[in-house]
Amino acid sequence: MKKYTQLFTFFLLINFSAFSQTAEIKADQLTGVWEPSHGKARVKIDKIADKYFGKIVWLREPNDPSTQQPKVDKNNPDESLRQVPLKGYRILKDFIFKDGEWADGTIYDPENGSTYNCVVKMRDQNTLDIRGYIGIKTFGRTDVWKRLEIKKKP
Amino acid sequence: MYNGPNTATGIWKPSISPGKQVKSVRFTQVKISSSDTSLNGLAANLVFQLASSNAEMKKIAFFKGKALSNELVFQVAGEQKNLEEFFKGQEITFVVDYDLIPDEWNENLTFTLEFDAELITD
Repeated sequence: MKKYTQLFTFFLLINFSAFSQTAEIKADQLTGVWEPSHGKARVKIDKIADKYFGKIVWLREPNDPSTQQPKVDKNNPDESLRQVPLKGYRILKDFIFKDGEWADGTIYDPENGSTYNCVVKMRDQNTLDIRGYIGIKTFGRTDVWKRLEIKKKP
Repeated sequence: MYNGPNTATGIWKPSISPGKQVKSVRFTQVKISSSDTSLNGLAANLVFQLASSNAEMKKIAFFKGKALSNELVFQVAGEQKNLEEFFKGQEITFVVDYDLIPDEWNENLTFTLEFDAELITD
C-alpha cells in the first residue's frame, strides 16, 4: 500500500510540473510584436518580473506634425513627464496570466493621457482581444491586435 | 540587439532594518553611466522605471535625446506616488528602456545606475 502511495504522489508531482510548464508556455505566447487595429503603432510585449508589459516600438508618424520633432507624451497628467518620447513608451503594464487570460493590467492612451484597466484574451496565436475599461469590464471597448512576424537579420 | 527600442533590467533586493516599514519614497537624482562600453553616441531616449510583482510599474526618470557622454543625469518625475509599495516585496526590478542608435550591436551593454532617494520609515 505504501508503495502505491509513493507512486501516486510521484505521478501527481510529475503531472503538476507538466501543468505548470504548459501554463507558462501559454502565458509567454503573449510576447512578441503586435499591431493595434488602427495601424498607427506597433507594440512589443515582453515579460519582466513575472508580469507582461508592452512598449511602442514603431510609429507610423514618428514626428509631431506641429513641431516636426519626435512625438512625446504631451498629454501625460504629470507635467514633468510630458517630454518622454512616445517611441519606447510602455503603454501596457503589469499583466498577470490567470484563468487563460492576461489580467490586472492597464493600458495607456497617449492621445488623451488616460489610463484604463485592461484585460487581454488570445483569440488565436496571432490575434488578441484587448479590452480597456473603467471600473467594470462591461463598460469598455475591445480592440483587435494582430501579431507581426519579425524577420531576423541574416 | 539592433537599432531601435531595447531594454536593460537589473534586480535590487533592498535591505530595510527589521521592524521598520517604508512609509514614503522619493527619488531625487538618477544617473546612468557605462564603464566597459560607451553610452556616448550609442543610446538615446532612456527611461528608468521600477517594476515588481507587488506594485504597478512606475516611471521614475528619463533622459531625452542622444547620449553625448558616458554619464547621463536623468530628469526625475515630479509625481512619485505610492513608491513605498515596491518596498513591501522581496525585490525590485529596475527597467531602463532606451533606443540603440547603431544599426547592429554584437556585444552586451552594461550600465551602472546610481540614484539618490529619500526613504521615510516609521
